[in-house]
Amino acid sequence: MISDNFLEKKLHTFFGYTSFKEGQKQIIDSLLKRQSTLGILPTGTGKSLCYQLAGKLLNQTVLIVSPLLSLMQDQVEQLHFIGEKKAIAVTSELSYQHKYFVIHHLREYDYVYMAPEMLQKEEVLEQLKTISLGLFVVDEAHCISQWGPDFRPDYLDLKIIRQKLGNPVTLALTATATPEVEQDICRQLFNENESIKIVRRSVDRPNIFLAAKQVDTQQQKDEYLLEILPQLATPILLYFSSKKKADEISQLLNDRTDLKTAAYHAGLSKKDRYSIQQQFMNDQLDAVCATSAFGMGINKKNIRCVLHYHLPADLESYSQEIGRAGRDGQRSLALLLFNPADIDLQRHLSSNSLPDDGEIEYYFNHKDLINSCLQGSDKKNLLEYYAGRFLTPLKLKQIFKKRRFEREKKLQELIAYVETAKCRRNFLCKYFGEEKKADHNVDCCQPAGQPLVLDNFLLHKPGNNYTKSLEDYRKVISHLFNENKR
Amino acid sequence: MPSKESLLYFFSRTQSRRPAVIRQVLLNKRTVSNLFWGMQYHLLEWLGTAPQLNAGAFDNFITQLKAENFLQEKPAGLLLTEIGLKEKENYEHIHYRPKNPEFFQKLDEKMWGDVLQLLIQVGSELSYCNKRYYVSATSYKAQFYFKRWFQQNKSAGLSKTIKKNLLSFLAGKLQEEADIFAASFNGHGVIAKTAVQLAKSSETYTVEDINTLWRDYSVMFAMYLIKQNDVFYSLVKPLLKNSLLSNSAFTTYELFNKGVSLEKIGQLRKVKLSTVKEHLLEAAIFEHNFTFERIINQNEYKILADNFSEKAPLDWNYQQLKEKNIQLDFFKFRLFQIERSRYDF
Repeated sequence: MISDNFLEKKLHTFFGYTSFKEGQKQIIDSLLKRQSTLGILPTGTGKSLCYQLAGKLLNQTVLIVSPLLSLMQDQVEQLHFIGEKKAIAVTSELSYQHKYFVIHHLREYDYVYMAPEMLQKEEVLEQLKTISLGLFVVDEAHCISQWGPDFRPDYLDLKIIRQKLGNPVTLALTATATPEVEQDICRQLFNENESIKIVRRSVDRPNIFLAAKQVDTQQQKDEYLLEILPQLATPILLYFSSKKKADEISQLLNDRTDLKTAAYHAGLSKKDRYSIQQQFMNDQLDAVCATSAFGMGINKKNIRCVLHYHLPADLESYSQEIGRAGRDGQRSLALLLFNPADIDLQRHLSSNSLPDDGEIEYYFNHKDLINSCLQGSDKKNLLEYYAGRFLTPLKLKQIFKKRRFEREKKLQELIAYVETAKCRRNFLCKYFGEEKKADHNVDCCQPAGQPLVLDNFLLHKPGNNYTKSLEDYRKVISHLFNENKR
Repeated sequence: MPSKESLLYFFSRTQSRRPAVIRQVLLNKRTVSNLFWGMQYHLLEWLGTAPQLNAGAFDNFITQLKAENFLQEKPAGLLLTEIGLKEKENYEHIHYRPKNPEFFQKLDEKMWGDVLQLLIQVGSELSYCNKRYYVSATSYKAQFYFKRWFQQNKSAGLSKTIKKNLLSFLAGKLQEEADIFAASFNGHGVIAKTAVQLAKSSETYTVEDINTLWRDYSVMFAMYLIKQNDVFYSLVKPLLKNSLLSNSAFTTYELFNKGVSLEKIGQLRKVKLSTVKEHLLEAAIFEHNFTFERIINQNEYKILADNFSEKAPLDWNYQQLKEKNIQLDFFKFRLFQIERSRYDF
């Protein structure tokens, strides 16, 4: 390893931190030795810092492949916030001229974010070949695995793209990966003869108490929420599978409790989403009722409870989402509300994003018609990707049948977690291929069938500074603009 | 998406109106037919004011409004009933309605909405000498545009000028509306309230009203800044539209104004003659200086005037000319109709 103090000094100089989190130093050290690395670090353990610091030390452009526009924008915003201005996300949000300028001046940027589709463009690839890439980063690398929940077909081409770029040193990052997914990432991204350093940190977060509560009806679920939420320590993050339900429960909590709550989902304007993020970060809200759109790029340390109102798709998503609780190391709660009727809802959501046999047939026979029906949907992107690989309708049906089967298997694993009468923590660790943790105790989790005792989490929340009434505009404007300066 | 009752505003007690035209006008679907009928309904100032309108939901709302007897079916469209009129007046009394809907068409409203947020946030942080903050969620395009302007216009007094303009713009407005608009900005130590939160605070306005108010006040503020002719002129001016015409129709109209014949325009632009005519009809609707005489000659004017002068343009029927065996292009008939409709305004 590079001298002990060197990296710490640099960490402090560039980011102001005095020490690394577990796994970060090993990854950076490996990258500086020019070895491609797979980092499996749980949410909240500072994955991005690994390539940001390595990039600083290598003093060459870092290319980051990322699956989501919002994720890229959040990362760029955070880099700008810490004063790193030479960061850009090359996305459809840029005007044609701006994009052209960036693509032809890549070497002027320290961090360039792109979705995998952008790398398919010949012009982009040609320009990338002309610069010396310090690092090729694949963020959310589990998207490459067909076994994973967020499989993205475009990720499958990254191996070829790497080859075209001369196999630059690569960092693949993910928060969760079963051993199966880990192997898949290595196989799909790296060449056979490459030696890959794997840095894996446990998904286990000892300060998060794992619990689940089974109810029989929707009404019971809402009543339970109204009963316990006002007593729980805040801030609380509630996850929903539907925008409508997130709105409804947020309204219910605002009307029936003294909690300051807001809903957050893709149906809101960008402006409102920004406000809610900022209000939550600044403790002006007690709870946010969100869909999975919330969370990426949110680094709030004091979330005391992550509550799932609906079932997530699988244990990967679940462990990522509960990982947002207790980043300050304080005791926190991960509570999943479970109504058996939710299984069908999740199953429907899960299989609805994959094209069925009829749609596959229709795609091949009436492309124009189905294109307009599926415009902008995941199904259309999937069909286009596979059809572009000259696969037959029969082959496609087989692929999606298998995917549906995989998703069902994942859902069953999640239900098994909810229903397990044994230690939930050990269940999770085992699922992710980790060794058994310390023996179960009362501070660890509440297995199914055991009473759910929440005494440790019933802290009275501190008063927050959110005002409900409208303020005089003159007062607001004088807060906005400092009289004494400029 | 506008609420069901808000749609009653677009119907009349005396003129039957086709809901499809209203829907297309709100969505900015610019076929000549939509624009022509939108003009006849005196609704063109609302063109493109509801780009997020869901066509299916709109049609459902209309069906419900008919079922509730607020609208009545007539041969030429739907008519507002007596109780429909009352409902409309009640609605207008409580809810927010844009004061200058025509402003929405005059500038790139979406871009300006983003630029305005940046202007207030950056100005606010500048007044506190703070450089470390998360920039409001705005498009890259707006950020790039604003940054360029800011680099050229950053000065010691910039924050004060923003504040002065904002205060003087809001001074003449209703207190509650001004309060809502001001609460929608992010700045140093100030986090904007969301539409849901503002609706809850207001107790008068719905979420939809708040969103409409924000858009309306934003564009009104842009027009206010343009009039001040100070440092912000150069921020707003490039976002103003030169013409209300679609880009393609504007190009055709420019060539027409240079004296190029319709056939030649078609060749130059590689479009059909019928498309050129559609572009010119659009220009006739929007451009007040349109020279109708370049297309309709004296003799044709006389024929058209003799046949149609006695009725209102809306009641003219092209078929009438055919029945009399008069050969005249529909294009010229429609142009004449547009010209005469202007007297109605």
